[in-house]
Amino acid sequence: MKKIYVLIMVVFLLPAITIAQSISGKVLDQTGLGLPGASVILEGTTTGATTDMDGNFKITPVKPGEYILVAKFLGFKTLTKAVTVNAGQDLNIGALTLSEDAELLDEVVVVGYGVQRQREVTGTISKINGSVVQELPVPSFNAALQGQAAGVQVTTGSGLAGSSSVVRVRGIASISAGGDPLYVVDGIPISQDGFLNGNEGGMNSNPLSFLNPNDIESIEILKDAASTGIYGSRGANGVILISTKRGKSEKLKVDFNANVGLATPTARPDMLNSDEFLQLYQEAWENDGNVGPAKLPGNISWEDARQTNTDWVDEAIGLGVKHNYSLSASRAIKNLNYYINGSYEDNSSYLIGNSFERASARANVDYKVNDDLKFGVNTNFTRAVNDRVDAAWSGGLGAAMSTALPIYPIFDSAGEYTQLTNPVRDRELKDWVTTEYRSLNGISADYRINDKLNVRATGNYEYVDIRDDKFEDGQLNTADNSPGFADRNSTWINNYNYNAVIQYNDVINEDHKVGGMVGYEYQYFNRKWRYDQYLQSVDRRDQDYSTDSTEYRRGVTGLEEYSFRSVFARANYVYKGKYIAQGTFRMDGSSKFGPNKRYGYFPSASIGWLITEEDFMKNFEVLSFLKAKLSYGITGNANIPNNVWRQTWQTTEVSNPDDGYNGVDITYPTNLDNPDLQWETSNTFDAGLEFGILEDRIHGEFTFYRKYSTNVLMNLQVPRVYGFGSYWDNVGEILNRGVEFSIKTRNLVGEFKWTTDFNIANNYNEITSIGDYSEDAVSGGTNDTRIVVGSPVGTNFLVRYVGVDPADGRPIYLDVDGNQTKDWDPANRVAVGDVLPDVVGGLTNTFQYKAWDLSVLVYYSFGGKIYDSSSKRQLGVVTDWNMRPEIFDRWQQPGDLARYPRLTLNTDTYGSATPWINTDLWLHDASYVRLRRVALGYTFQESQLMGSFFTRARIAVSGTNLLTWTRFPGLDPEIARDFENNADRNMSVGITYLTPPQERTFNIHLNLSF
Amino acid sequence: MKKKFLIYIALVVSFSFSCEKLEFEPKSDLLTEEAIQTEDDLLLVLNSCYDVMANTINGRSQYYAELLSDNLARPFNNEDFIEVYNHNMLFFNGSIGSFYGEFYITIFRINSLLANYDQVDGVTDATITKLENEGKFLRALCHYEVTRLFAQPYGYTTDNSHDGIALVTELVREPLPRSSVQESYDQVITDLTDIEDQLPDVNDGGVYATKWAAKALLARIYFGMGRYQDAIDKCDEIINSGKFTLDPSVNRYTSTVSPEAIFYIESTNGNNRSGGFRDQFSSNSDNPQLTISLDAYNIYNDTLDARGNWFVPVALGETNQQIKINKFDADFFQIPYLSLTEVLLTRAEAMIELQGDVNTIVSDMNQIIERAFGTGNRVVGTGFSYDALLDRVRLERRKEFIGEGDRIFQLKRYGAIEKELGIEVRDNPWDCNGMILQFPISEKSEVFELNPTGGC
Repeated sequence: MKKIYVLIMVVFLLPAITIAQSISGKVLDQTGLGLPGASVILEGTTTGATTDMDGNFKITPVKPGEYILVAKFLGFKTLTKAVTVNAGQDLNIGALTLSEDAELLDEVVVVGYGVQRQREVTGTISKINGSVVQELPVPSFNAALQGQAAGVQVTTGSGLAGSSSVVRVRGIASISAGGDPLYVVDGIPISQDGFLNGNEGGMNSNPLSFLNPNDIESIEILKDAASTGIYGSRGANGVILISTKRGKSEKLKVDFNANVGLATPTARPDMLNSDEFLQLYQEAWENDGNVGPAKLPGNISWEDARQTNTDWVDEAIGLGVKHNYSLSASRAIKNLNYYINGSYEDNSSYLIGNSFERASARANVDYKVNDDLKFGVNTNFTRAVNDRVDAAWSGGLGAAMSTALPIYPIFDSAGEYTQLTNPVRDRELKDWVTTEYRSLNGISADYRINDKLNVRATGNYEYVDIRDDKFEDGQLNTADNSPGFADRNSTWINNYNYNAVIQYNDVINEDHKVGGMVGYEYQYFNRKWRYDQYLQSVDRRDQDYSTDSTEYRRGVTGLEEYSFRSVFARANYVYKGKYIAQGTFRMDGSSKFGPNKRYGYFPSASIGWLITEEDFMKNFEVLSFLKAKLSYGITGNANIPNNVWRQTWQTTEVSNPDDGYNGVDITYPTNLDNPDLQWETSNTFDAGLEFGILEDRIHGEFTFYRKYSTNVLMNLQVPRVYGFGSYWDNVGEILNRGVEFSIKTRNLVGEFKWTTDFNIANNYNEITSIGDYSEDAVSGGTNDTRIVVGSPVGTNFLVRYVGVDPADGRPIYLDVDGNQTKDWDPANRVAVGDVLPDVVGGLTNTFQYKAWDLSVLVYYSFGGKIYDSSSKRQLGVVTDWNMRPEIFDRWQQPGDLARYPRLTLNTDTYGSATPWINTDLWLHDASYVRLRRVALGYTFQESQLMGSFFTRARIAVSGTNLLTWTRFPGLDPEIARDFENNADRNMSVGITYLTPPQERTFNIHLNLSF
Repeated sequence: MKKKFLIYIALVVSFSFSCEKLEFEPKSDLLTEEAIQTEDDLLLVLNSCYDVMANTINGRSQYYAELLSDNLARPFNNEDFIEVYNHNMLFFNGSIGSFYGEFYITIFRINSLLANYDQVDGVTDATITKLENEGKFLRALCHYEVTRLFAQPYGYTTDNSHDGIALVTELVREPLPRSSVQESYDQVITDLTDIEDQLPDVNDGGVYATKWAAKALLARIYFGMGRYQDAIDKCDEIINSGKFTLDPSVNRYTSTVSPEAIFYIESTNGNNRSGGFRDQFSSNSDNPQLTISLDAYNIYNDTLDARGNWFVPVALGETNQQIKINKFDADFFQIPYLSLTEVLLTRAEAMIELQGDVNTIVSDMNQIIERAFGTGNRVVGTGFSYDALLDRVRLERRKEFIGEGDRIFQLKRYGAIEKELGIEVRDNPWDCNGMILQFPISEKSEVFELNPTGGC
């Protein structure tokens, strides 16, 4: 039987062997060097080969016929060549010379409601490939934009798991309204409120953490009015468009990514130990004229204090472990393309008990019914679980840096937690978990009416369900004698939009190309919330909450809604392929404003000139591309709370015993109306020059802009005689002016490749008017940043500190006239600095040699100030706060020249009634240069993978925040602390108050494709 | 096909357009036309005035005043409190800023009611009278509290032309200047005298304004101004009404309403308005913010004095000494703002100042003394001199109202009205800058000067 089988095989296969054909050749680069590892395939088949070390390839067997040969190599343009193979022929096609893919200018970029060719774009748009954000272990993709685009300042959130970053596009043009750019994911302006839970626990929520970075195909950052104008009322602070992946390859492509890493803090707080604390405390006591042993904080006896030496920082900090896995499949076949992904990550931070876990799934599917009609569906589902710990002012590491003294024990002699400040007790007796479910979905229909006209309709829906469950054991609330508290804050968001766009494109003749679109859009958003509290001794996290329970204590519910209705249009015209003009217009109506000012109108106009297309440039061969751009437009901001324009009331329901007064309901006004409240508007002028040199080996862009914002929305603190503490009005005016420069150079393009990306941006910011109000009318929360005319948004408004009087050791300040005084009085505050950096940018060098690649990203920020707000307690009046070792440099006896004044327990010694003595002693240079990321990777060649299951395999190791050069004496110069509201977020980046430092990570990445 | 598709698109768009809204009624809030439709709605707004006013005299007004005095030790660690205690308050004191704001929220709501009640159809005259009378009572109470805490006292200048407070008698949207203290008192007294006999005799116990509450408040005001006969007259009316009897217990801060409460803040287990009062003082706490000064504790050195049981001394004489007070320890309690005890002691002292009827003075004082020491113990007699009676009535007054914020105003009266020399509070003169609270920075404007700082 076996012999018969072999005979049959020989009979059938022999002809094939004897008449086998082949195609051979060599793949070269432009310099004539062979390209090893290039792939050459026959289009529409799986037949192909990989070039050897000299660039040679041979495809065999090949049946006779006509083929399209496709040669590909990373970093080079794909080349196709038609070949005909005759029976019995061994076809040698000779050299296939690939040119480098430096021609970025024919790349398509996503713009609002459409795409444009890069060369015809007249706005200022930074495009970032999705791969850039995928290997960085960040809480959300926007943190990975740091250093990637000129004029985009990213301040990564703190080391807390899941923390949010602050992104500023071209400075800050808002005061009380949200100053973040608008985030649009696959066409839907997503909900991006970071204050759903305020700053509870010393952390704001991160509305962008739901998105799996592996799903991102590209990110386009729209910066000027020509590009953001199409988003009208919401474009003033820039727009960030996120496009997720879709199927592209005819061949099924499966990708698996795994990242595993460790996290530690970039800096570790150094606090006094017990002996040091007691020594300094006693010194302060005696300095104040007391005798005998000092009365210690918490009424602790000296004997107990001496026997205790708790290192609370050690108790708060551990080693974070990160896991991240993502599996995706994509394919584009005749009428159908799809991309599906499932991912899971579990990132614990260096704070003990703190982690962020996310599981997400996505499916993007396009189906082409016929040549004219296409449907698309995107759907994404995410479950994110944030295991919370208190931080900053709320406790945890913040307590370890402040009121958790080394003389306080964790446990008493009976082994019970002590009732003094005890972050270990608080952490262990509190179970705090925020669980978020979010789904983002879209459907689209594209219909081609004729060659010039098509219509696209899309509908998107976002659903968010957030549960914040906090259980506090009864031992944490001894004053209440309660068995414990179980709190649940629930939030549900429904956010949908739909739009219809009619697009027109026509090439009239060689000289005239016109295009345009008209669209209509409606967006509706609602947020429901509910707060429940139960008095009980066990965690209730896994139970449904029921108001019927006997343990039910109280509950609050609410709902808010807003909507936008918009019409918009864009017109493009290209003359002779070198003169480009574009106009956009948007009219927005919104429920955010009253009938008096409900509609806003936002036009923009821009022109571009492709200078290198001119005949007179033909002799400048070095200059391969040069485009000049000018734009002007008006954009707006409406990111304010709802219904602030009208008077509203609340009434209680007496059924709730907590409400009302004397068992009777109450009705009361909740808002001071302002029916003329209107859109904040920014008038932006932009001039840019885009260039390519040496066949685009060097490509760059230089831009100047001036953005003048008027009718700036401010939530003003008004005299209390108004009956309210604050109200909204359009008051301020702000100037932002700056230059941006970015350049990409391909320094080496041979076997050893070296690419450099560099960007730098300067922004000048100035508040030019705040009406008749004072500097204190809007404040950056508790951060002592104020609005000062002639100074930037986020000006440090502080009493000036001169030094220590060597005679008596007391601090000396300056009064408002510059005279020395020993009385600290906030009436003497002046503008002494600002938190905005002057220059920010990034430098990325990428090296590639054979299978190895090395990427080094350096981020830098120069200028601006850090206000180390907690220093005033860690290095000021001796209180119930622990102190930092720098305090050893203090005045001790007459004649001492010391950095810090005499130790005292009495605030009067420092000329104040409070230990919260804000002065510019705590103001530091915020400049820093940071080795943001180093990654070393090895990509297995196809030849190495032959015979294996995989078509691509890459392994890499990376580290983030490895080195920082700074003069800031505190923990970490990159600071985005917890904020109280949008005004605080706009004005107080760079203020630290017990803020956990950033994390340093070490990671291993694995990427497999098959 | 193409036509059909376009028609579908057009239909969807037009249908959607018709459903779209650009205005939403707030779901968590009401619009004015929804909230204020009927006479009952107006009464709910009036109740909200009581509600917010209750957040000022539910202990806050009492212990801020007490912090200025010599009755308390330095607060445990609350810096806002310590600033007040140190007589050097800054305009950033958040606790005081929000406390100050509550008075003007109350006043705004009252003025808003008085300005707009006629826009509601069918409001009866009885309701209008109620709104006007109780509104004026609350407005007077708020203006008075702000005046006595944020301005130097009556008598600080001979004509009382020194800075008082912003008087708000109508709706405003612009900063107001400070009236003089004379004008401030005039406004308060006008509001009260307008309505003292118009208010009802009984109004849900003493939770809402009655004629007796207005008269008791007037008695307190007149007494502070040195208008002793006017104070006596008001006290007479209250005492002679027979509406109130002395609480048999020395502690009026219990869950049941004291029979001597003329006006009080209502508190329940669920709607506990006394929590702040309790939490600051609670003797059950290891480290209550507010404890009693040794100077004050030492005046209760008579073992017969039942009020001596209010104190829980810890580590007396040591560096970690604490003298806690258990007067406000109940889980929840009613907060008497005006009481018969005050009326009796006010009448007695005012009569002593005017050298009036000794029998009445002795009778009034002994009611208080015997309650504390027991029948017949430590009583005063008609043979006592006016000076001796004055010393004793002042001592009993300080003892009775410890923790209640009365002491500082008496000290100021001794200095400003009685012109007694050497009146000091913890070594600071009664009239130094820090002896009054500072306004929040929000008040500062071209027309409104904050209080001067330093000098204490």
